[in-house]
Amino acid sequence: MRWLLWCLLAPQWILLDGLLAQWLPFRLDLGAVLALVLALDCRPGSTAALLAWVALARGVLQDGDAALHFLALGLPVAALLPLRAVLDERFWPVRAAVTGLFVVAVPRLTVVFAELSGQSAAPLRPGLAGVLATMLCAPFLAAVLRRLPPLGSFAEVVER
Amino acid sequence: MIQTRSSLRTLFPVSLYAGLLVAVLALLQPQAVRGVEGWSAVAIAQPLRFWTGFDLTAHRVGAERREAGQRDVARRVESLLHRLDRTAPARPGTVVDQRHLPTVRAVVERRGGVRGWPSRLVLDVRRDALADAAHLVTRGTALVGFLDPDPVPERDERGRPDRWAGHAQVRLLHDHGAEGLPRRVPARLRVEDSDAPALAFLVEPASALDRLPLRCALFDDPYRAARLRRTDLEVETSGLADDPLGVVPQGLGLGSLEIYGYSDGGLAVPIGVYVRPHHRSASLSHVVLWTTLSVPDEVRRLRAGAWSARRVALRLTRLPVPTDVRFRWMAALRDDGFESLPVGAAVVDGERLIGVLESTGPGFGMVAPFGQPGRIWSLVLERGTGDGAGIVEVQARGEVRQAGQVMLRRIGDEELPAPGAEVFTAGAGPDEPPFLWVGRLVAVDGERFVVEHVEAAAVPHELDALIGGGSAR
Repeated sequence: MRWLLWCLLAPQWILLDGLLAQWLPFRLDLGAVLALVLALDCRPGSTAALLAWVALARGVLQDGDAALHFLALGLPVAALLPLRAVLDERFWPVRAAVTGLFVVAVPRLTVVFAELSGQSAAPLRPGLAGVLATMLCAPFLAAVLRRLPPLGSFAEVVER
Repeated sequence: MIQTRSSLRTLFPVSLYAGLLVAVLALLQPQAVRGVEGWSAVAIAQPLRFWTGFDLTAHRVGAERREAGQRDVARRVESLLHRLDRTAPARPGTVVDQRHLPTVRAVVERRGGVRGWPSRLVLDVRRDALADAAHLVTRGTALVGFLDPDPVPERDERGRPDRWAGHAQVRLLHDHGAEGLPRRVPARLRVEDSDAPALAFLVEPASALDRLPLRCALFDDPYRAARLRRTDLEVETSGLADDPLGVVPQGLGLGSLEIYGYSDGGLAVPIGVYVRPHHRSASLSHVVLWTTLSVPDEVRRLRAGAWSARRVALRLTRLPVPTDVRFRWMAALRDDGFESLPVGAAVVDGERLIGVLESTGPGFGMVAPFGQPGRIWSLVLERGTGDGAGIVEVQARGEVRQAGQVMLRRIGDEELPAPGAEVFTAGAGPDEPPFLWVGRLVAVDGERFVVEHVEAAAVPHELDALIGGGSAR
């Protein structure tokens, strides 16, 4: 059931991201918020499948193949996932910093992979205000996502 | 369930790294995962069809305005075709007799080749209707290739039925031939300011590693060839009288000379001599055949309206997405049916191109609007008016789309016309016919140019998709 819910709602999250991009004077990158939850909150075993669906949805709704989006999102997630062992990922400055990395890296990686594979991709790149706004808001938005279905049921419960 | 982080598998999930590896392979071989992507697209997009029931952002365009627009388009296309007719090519020597007339034929699909140089062109005419056609295929004063004696086969390389089976196809000069036997053309260098005899050689298809599609071989005077320095020379056919592969008349243009080699004070000591064709095969919208058919009838058939594509009624919804363009149109069949729409089908308002379909599935498709950043578009631009009028075919990559204007960057070195020229499609596949009107050229700055295109907010809610089904003949 949770997978079905994820399949239905992940594309809507991208549309909400697009809607905010039209409404807000700055870019609040909901894609980075999602990547934050996948990297630091979800069970690592589920991350690949969750990411794959997001990548497929981005492939349909945005430019570029799903493989391109999987690499652009998956590489930073794979790089940051082991940080859970050395950092307190619930500490909000850590989460803000990780979000900042996603906001900057994902659009750039998307363009790089698009150029390498000869595809068209023109992700929205946030300005400084957008990066800061996303870094500030992401920890709170991620906390909400982590508690709500469907991502709530994929969240990792950590024994400390 | 309580999990601990003691194991490395938790921190380095195998599934994620395996997924990344598969993604790299999929990026290199996209056709291997097309099926999975196609089915996923259906699963993702079908729920989104819910939104097409809400006409929240699309605007309706009044019937009067659309009708006026249609009249404009018809007039423009008619004018363009008149020019095409007037700029009909020079008669290629004695190979075609006076009974043969130039017949302009549209290119419906480009195939084969490497690095943006397709090597075969499928035409909008059946091969059996060209029984009396000369083997030469020209454009203006240039030889572009040879008419294949065989039609497009019933099935493609993978054994699937070919939608253009029976159609005529042109093997361009850089095509390596059906059995790997390329057609070499006897050529010479046109040196107008020199008393020396022309340098003779053969022009043949270059290898896949070369930067240009044609190269020169077997020079009659290798010493002179090694001393070539100028790259502005025109290469033309030399008209070898007893060419065993069929006579090619002399004086037909093949392209301009390009020399690659070691640097020698700004020049190059040749190690490879190439020919840059006059026309980029990726943007060739039409070619000229020499047949005994009537010219005006044939030219009129190129009208966008006369294309045999079927029109399918669509309903468009603007979806907000986080890209540079900030929206994506989703098209659904107006009758809520589930007919599969082909990728690449032109989405049109009358005869005006709005965009092309991507990520399609049963009854729906996502629309890439004209000028979508990063996407390559094949275009035909009018050049001038009056006696010197003609057309320029260019391939261009979309850069910015904003406020009803699209900035594109030319690929190649064609001279762009002055602002004010009308812009049409050059045809990009079986479902995107040539000579669909796009808009007006409003600015040219070096290799960049701006085309006025319909504002996203003014795109009508109800449009059509063109689905090619082959030509009527």
